[in-house]
Amino acid sequence: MQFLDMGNYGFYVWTAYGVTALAIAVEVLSLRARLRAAARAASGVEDTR
Amino acid sequence: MNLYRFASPAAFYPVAGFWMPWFAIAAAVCTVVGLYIGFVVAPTDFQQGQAYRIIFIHVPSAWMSMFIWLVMAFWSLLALSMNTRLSAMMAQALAPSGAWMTFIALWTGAFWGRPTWGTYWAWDARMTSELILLFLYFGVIALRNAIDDPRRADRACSVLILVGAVNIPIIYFSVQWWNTLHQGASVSLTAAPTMAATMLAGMLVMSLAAWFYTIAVALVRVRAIILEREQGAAWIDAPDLARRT
Repeated sequence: MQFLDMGNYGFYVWTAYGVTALAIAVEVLSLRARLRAAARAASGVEDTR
Repeated sequence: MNLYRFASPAAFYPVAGFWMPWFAIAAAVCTVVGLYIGFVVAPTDFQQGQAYRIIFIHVPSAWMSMFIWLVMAFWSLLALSMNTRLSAMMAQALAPSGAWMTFIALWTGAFWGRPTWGTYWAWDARMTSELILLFLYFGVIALRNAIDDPRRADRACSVLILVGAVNIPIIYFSVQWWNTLHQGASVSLTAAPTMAATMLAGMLVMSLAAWFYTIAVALVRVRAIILEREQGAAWIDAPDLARRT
């Protein structure tokens, strides 16, 4: 708990790190979807969804 | 070996696919090591307490936000002077990464500024010029989306990227040229760093992580861009792609 508290700066430290982790997750997931869509289109397979 | 061969999207596509996992692994390893140094090994700052630990993402992302634009400017210069498609694709692939890094730098800066300066935001030269950088990244992405012909978009974006590079020295030297709330540089190539060795080590390892992450992401994105733009080209192994998707 002392670690999470960060000497009363927990809110600032973990908001900064949390949003950074979220940004990385969004970038990686959206990029994976883009690559899959591009591969599907380039393969000539009709998108059935 | 003729390196110019890799200026062709068809030749670079498999190369990017081969190297991507290695950069992703390197990024993950550096992140774990960097966070361990940053949160376990590095001591508490005597003035800022634990709040300073935001430095381990703030400084690497801020460095990357500026550096990515310079790399994009390099590729844009090649694209304009040599008329190489892959160079423009590389610049296109880096733009969203740069925008994310700029956002992270601004966000972590705000949440570091509040406990140490008493405010999330101030219109000082460093913060304002970094915000302009974010808008420049948005501008490059929007400009490309606004032009249907990819080769015209390549040229227009290359010009915008080269002109926008003027903002990078303004950001970097803003803390010297003007009186800013933001502090000056603690680390430079010409003087000894003004921070504890373990803090510096954590920051540098996290910077390496940011480098490797950016390279891995850019390699994936350039592969997607190559597929989007080269659809129907003879070199694309459509049956193989169909099997994988």
